[in-house]
Amino acid sequence: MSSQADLVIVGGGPAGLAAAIAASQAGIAAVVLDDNEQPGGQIFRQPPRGFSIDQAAGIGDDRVRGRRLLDEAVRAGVAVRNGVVVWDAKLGALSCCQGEEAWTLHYRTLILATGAYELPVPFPGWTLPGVFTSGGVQSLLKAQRIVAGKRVLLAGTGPLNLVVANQLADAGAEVLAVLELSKPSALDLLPMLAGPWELLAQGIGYVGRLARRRIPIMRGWTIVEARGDEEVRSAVIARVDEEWRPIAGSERMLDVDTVCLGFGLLPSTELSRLIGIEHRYAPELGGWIPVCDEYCETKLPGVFVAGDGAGIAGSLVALEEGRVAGLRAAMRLGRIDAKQFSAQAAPSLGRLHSLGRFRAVLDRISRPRPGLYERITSETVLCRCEEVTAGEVRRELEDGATSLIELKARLRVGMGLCQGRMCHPTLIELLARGTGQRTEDVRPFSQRPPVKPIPVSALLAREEAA
Amino acid sequence: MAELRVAKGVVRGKAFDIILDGQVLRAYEGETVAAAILASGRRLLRVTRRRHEARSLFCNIGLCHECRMVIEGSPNVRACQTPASPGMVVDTQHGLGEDETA
Repeated sequence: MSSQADLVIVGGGPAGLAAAIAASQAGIAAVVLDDNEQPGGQIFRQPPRGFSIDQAAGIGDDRVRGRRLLDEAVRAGVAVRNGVVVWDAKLGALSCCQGEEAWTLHYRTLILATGAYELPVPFPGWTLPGVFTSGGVQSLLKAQRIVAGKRVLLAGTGPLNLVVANQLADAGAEVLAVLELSKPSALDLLPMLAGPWELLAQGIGYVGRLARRRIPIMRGWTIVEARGDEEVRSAVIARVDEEWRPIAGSERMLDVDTVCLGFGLLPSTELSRLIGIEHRYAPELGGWIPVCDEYCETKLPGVFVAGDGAGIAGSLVALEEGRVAGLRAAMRLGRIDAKQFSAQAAPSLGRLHSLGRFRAVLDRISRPRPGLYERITSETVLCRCEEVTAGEVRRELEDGATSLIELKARLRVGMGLCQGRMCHPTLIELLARGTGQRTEDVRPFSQRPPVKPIPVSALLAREEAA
Repeated sequence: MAELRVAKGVVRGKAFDIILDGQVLRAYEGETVAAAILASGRRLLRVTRRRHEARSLFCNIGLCHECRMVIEGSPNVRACQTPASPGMVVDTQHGLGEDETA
């Protein structure tokens, strides 16, 4: 089966929806594909069908903003196809699958708005039941109104943990503390005063609400171990130095039943890599990111990237980039001319400029530091799928392994169902340290289709059609 | 651990039962299998093949595959991405979820 579209957008989060709305206003009916049950992405995740949630129930304003965007999409006539997995991408064609059904979708222009996922940061005990990603705990709470545990510790860096801590407390959990790796000085934060006021006010609001609840934000602390037999029962926490290395002797133990890990986000670049877009290493934006111009267009003609998948920047940036990409695609398709593009994209480009300044400060504070990887003990499981420990990886490095491919061949790391998403960043860091290379000089795993597990029947259908 | 569903400010979907390891478990329309299990206070979803360790939900967005269970007889189904449905039969996955003695 095969079909054709002028504009295909992969991802129904803020960037994808904003792109579709902008394109629609320019007269293009985009095909929006999303692999979730409902549009909105992770940040604007809506409750499932059959649920109704009181907007005032302390779930934050993300969902209100999300609802507004989704309503706007409906008014603009945007139709999102949910539950569709795009598992291969070539110039001009995508391989799609939904359940057992598979088809090829040809496009003239493409916007990849694939979003991000949380940076996995291994430490002893991080595989114990009761240790979750902060985003995972948040979506359980936002979408399904289920609180992940009763006595909760949050650890990592960045604003997400502050948001989730408040949401958990609203829902009745006892939040022991938020451990924040970085210790920004007032000087670091000064440039933020020039940034958009709503972001600054939002940040102050989260901190203030935690203070009123007497939930401490412990700056310069992190989790070094989660303990328990069948599930987490306690957490060992420690002070860290400027490079995020735990300080020996500073350890303390907390009784917990739940740990939330929020160490920042990684862009989902599986499709952008597969299709052949050039990537560059930008650690402050989440690592390897696709190269694009100021209008989100890559060097592949008619192929755009927008939102967190193009470099971690949050939903406000995603909305504006999506809009710019949608308008630019409309221009490439000949629906608007360059003058109309400039006029219509100007407000978004202006917003992106002012958001960029704010973001630069946060990026500097939360950029991963070496201590994050140096504290990984030998017994720590790195590759969750194949259950390979850091000790096994280090032994192979001492034995002369110099590339990820060799580690993969010897240990099966990265060969499990998550397709390396959980171990890849850590493997790169350990390999760089073990071989004396710079992180950006380590060649990542090559990307191969399918980028997500799909039924064999879907693969066969494509083979037969070919 | 007691009930973890937040009661305030939400009207859930229709209630029904699923069968978890042969026992009846309450779920609501719109909940994923993982959500329904976690809401009951249980965390164990699978036991790993090599180290025989307990695993539960981790990322909750379908990427890490830690939550895979045997659902309606099929192994390696992600519980965080599978909506619960009335009478659904769900089992803790051991190893690859197939009879490994064979």
